[in-house]
Amino acid sequence: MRCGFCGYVFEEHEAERGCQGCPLVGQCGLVRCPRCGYEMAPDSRLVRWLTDALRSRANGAPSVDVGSDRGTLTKLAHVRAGQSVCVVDVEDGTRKGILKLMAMGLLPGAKLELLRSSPSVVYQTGFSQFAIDRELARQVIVEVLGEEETANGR
Amino acid sequence: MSTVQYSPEVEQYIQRIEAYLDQGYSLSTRSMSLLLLSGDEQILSMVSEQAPRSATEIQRVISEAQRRLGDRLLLRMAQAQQRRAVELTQGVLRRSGSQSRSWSERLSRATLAPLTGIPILILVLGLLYLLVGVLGAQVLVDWLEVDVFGQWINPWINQITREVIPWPIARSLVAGEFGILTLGVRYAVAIILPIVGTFFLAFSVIEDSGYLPRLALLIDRLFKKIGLNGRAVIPMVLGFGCDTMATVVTRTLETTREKLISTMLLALAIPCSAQLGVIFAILAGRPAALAIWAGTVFAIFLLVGFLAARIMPGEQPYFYMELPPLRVPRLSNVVVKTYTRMEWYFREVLPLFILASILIWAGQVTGVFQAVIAVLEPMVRLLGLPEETAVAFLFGFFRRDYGAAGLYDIQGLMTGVQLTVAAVTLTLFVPCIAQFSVMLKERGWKTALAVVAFIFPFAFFSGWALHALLSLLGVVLQ
Repeated sequence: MRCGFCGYVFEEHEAERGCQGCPLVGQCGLVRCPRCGYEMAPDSRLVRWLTDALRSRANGAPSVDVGSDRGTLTKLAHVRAGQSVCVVDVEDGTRKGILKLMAMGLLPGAKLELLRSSPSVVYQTGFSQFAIDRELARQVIVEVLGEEETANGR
Repeated sequence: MSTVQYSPEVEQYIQRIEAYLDQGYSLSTRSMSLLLLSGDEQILSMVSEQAPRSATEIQRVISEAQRRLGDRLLLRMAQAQQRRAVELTQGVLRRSGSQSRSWSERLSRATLAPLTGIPILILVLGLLYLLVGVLGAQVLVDWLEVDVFGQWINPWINQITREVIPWPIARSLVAGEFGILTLGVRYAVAIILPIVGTFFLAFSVIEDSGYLPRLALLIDRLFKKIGLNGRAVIPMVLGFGCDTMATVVTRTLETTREKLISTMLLALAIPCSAQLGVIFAILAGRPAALAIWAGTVFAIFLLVGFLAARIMPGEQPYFYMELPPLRVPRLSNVVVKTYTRMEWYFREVLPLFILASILIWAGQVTGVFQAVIAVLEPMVRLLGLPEETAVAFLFGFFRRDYGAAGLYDIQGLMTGVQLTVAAVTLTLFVPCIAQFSVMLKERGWKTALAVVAFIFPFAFFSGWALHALLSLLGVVLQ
């Protein structure tokens, strides 16, 4: 989400950093910008669901230029189903976590095809399909390569 | 030449470690060096046993490499291996066209999307119920119970023992109400076997089709709320087969917190196939009672899991899993698997049933049995149940399914509400002896005792609360 005051873009779970020292952490229902400390109400789930649904419908329409996302760096958790991506980097502090993601084919340079983005991220690499939850998918930085025509199974 | 070529900086470390290794190992020095560099502790301890001096030198090189390259070290190595693997396969492998995007691929996607996946899940559960709950628990049990044992085997045994054994006490050990043959073997063969048999058959088909990982993915969000992740669906589903087996499988979960929560939930709210089948058989003619039973147990499962996740500290679990392709199970595999499990179950269960019969017989002869029932009776009355159910609860100590089977025997005496309350209480009730012993082994005696100490009063309290609620609302279940 984006801070309404300073414009900093952050993940909702990062906001807890801004709440350090406050006894109400996670209980007050407000989100505090980790950069400037401005407090705001989190995005409504209904609104987010609606915008997501509208966006994915728009993406299904043939008139949209599918190449427009090409080259964008983003997190695997934010990639839409049907796009193919290339892994750029894997961020993880713990050695065990890295090994886990490596075993799932998430190596820098690996090409993935996203099959689903919810409830968990499902991707295909090589001949195998894997599922990881969105928390793990947030640790994977990818470059969007484009839309995969065959991804919808048609 | 199939050697993997690593980047120069990694190669340099490989060679430096190799220099400290001599030839005496079963692996080549290069493989040893690679394993050491990727942090294999087994190899390191092997080296430090044979050559402690070089082991400390090697450790110095490894920690230098880790300091200089950090996570990159492991990533670079994996990348190089991956690249070589792709090179090798490219020469020998050809991908056929998009023909492979067949029905299995389409079905696979349907199972993953919540919109189609949940109806598919309900369909799978419905088929499971038809096979286990109707064919196993009703048709086959009826035939074995009423026709084979009731008409034929039991009267025959009773008659023979009357003629052969003159002492009534010894006679009641093998025949009569609680005899080894007429009670222990009858429960095992006529009530439990058809139910677990059909369940294991259905489970083998589900397992071999590759559906379970998809179920794990679908249920991950819900399980995160109770402190588990989607992976835990595998011990949970196995628990519907046998909670003892499932408790062993909780080993595969990563954090202690997950192991603890899943062990407790298995002991509390997951009925095993035998128990499930008997409960199906008891409540079969009463869909409303069955729905109340299922709803109550599921709600308790979620509530206790949610509270446990709140109380127990620990990190949030992650979900990650490979999704194997959906496949049509092979008949021979399914048959062999089902048979193996049934044989295992029977070997496990029959001695325990016989032991339980002997203990009950001994308890009855010495009067201990009546004393325990006298203690249980007021508790049972508190739940609004007839006193005869105390016997079923006592059986439940020996095996969960044994208790439920005892309930099956006296179902004629009870109303729909009473049966529902008894079924819920028995489902939640203490784990059987086998499960308890596995809990002791896997989680230690403190945890195992704590779980039982929680479950015992909680099961009775839940039964009492359900009884109070149902009678307050004036529910009548036919």
